[in-house]
Amino acid sequence: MKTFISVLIIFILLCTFVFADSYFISKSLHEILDITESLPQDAESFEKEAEDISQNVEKIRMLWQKSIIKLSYVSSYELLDRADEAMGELYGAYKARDAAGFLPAAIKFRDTLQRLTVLFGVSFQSLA
Amino acid sequence: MAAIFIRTIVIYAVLIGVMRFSGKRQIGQMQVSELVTTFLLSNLASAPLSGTDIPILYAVVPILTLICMEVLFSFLTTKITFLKKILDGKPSIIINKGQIDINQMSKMRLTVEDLLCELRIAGYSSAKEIDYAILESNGKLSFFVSEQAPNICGIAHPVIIDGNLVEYALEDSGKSEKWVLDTLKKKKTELSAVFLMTVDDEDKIEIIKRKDCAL
Repeated sequence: MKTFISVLIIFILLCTFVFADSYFISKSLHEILDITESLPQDAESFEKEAEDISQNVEKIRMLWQKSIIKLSYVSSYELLDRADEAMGELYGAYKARDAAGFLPAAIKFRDTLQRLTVLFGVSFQSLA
Repeated sequence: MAAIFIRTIVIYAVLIGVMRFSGKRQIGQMQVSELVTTFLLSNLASAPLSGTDIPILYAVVPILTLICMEVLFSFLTTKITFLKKILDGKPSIIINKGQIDINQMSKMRLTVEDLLCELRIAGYSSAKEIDYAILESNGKLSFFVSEQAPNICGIAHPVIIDGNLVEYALEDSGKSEKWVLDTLKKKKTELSAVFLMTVDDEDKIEIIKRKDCAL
């Protein structure tokens, strides 16, 4: 009976950890994804929305750096590396005011974030 | 390298910790669910040890989940008989009152050779010596000897199994196919009607016909 109760407690703690972790990581990933989706989709907008981009990219970078440590405990490093690389490219291109580099980096980063949100969300897609 | 070293220690500690919860049974005594859990544990534990690109939690969380499920279910099976039947199965009677149950054997995917092998391991040379053989839910066979067990000299060689002549047994017993067929003729029995025919070192023959088995 003692073992049963201990295991039950461990199981409850484990479930709480897993679901809380999924919830908080999904939340922060969605937050980054929302900002990333507001980034310009073409070169023309990149030139026009320079100020917005500056704010958004800085925010994305800050949020990503906060999340990556938490993510490294629970996510495959391959996916994280891809996202981190894209984040680096995105930030580099923004600093260099390089629209040609910025747009593909934004797509790559968005794509990896979408994969991560599917992976951490509790849905049929993440189970399959 | 240091990361792998520390990961190994962590995984080892987790495994030892969780195995303490799962009891002290050995592989041969394991129930189906325990066996599955053990195989899964070894795989889960080894992945993050060799690959540093896999987070350690990828091993720790499934290991803890498996052991929790295993302990919780084994506790519940002691309380709920229905659950025990689903998870562990129930014992099957393979020989019932001296009669081999072919139907049960095929259900359990147990061949005559397997049965004879288990009999020999348990120290019996013929199925005729056994009143009851029970295939336990942990996969072991228990035998209950018949009080009127025939006196068998040496090993009973299974020269016919399921209507087929067994070449290695013919060789081991020093009998020929002709001798077996002649013996069957004398006993007015067809080869296909024989489920098991054994011959011991003193040429004592035991025949179990299909119709004598529970079907």
